[in-house]
Amino acid sequence: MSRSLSFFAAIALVFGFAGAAVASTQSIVVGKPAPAFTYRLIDGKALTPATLRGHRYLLWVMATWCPSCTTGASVVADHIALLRARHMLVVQMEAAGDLGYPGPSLTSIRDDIGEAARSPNWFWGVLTQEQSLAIDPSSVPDVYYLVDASGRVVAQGSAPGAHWSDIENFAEGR
Amino acid sequence: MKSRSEAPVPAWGIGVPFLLAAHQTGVAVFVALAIALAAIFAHAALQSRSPFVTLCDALTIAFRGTNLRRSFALTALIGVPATAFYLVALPAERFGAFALGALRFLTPGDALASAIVGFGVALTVALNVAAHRAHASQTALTFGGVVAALLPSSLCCTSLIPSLLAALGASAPAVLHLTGRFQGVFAVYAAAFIGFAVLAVLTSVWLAAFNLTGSCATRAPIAKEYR
Repeated sequence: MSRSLSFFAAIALVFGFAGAAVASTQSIVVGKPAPAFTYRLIDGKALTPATLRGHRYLLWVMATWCPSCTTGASVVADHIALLRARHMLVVQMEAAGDLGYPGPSLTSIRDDIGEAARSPNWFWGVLTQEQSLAIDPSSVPDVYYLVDASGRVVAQGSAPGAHWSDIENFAEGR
Repeated sequence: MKSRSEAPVPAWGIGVPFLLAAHQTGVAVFVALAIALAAIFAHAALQSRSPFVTLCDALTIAFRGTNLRRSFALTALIGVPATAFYLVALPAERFGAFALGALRFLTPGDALASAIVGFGVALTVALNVAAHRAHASQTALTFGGVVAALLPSSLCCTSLIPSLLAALGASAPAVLHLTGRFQGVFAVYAAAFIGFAVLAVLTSVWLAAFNLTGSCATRAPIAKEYR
């Protein structure tokens, strides 16, 4: 019994130390400034903190195999013009390694969405391992953050498609 | 006495690859219906019984005389809320939350699967209650169907697995490499899971009907009625 407990305690410690090592890098916390990452976009460009500065934005981490993520993308597509009119950006990022399970390419998902996905205020990219651990430490697909114009994270949620009214209220400044 | 090897479950093996290949709920439900019918006919043939007569006899026993009101009440009280639950739970995976808003993403396949699983479970209970004895194997099969139907919407795209792993002491790096694989499997094979649930519930209904009509206690009144 005590040997089993020791075994589990050792595993917890190993994972705990590894997690602490990663958590020492930038992480995302509601009420604090969002990490100043430069994101890799799927069109080969980079999205720098300078581009995001002064804009409200939706930072959304997804996996391409996640059904609610693709639904959420189509909901964003329906409202992207409104967000653009409110000068709000959407930063849609695939988690590093698609969270460990292969899915379709992010490019194919963007193509399926159609013309709306190419709106200039909608950025599609892939997170690095470090960025994934910082923004989505629990490895949950379909998690999002709302970041205000001063770069502060003001809210966190999951499934933008299911919680669109919260995002729209943020876009409208309510 | 029915031995475990006589159960129709081994007949599932032939159809399972087809079920796994189904990526839409509607297709998975029809594949599951085909497998269930094949398994039921095979099992009935092995027992030299007609599936139609067996089912009709079982329903006659369960829904007549003193059993009538209780069976109807059980079927309605379990079937209606269970079906309503599945109508929201099955599209919830695509919606991203267990809420009425998920109904916007309900497909005909989801609706069919919800009705079959919801009322199938209710009918199994009604048949078992009518038989006045519950067999552990049937209960397990029905329970398996319910669990299988709930797995995709519970495990994909929710924080359930990360929470469980976190509770066990695993933190970010471990979770990152494990949870996506688990959730990805449930997301990609969601339709197959629902198909398995339909298959399990239909098999449960058949086994409940088979056992109900196979018992000496219930055969006599039926025989008297047909005489």
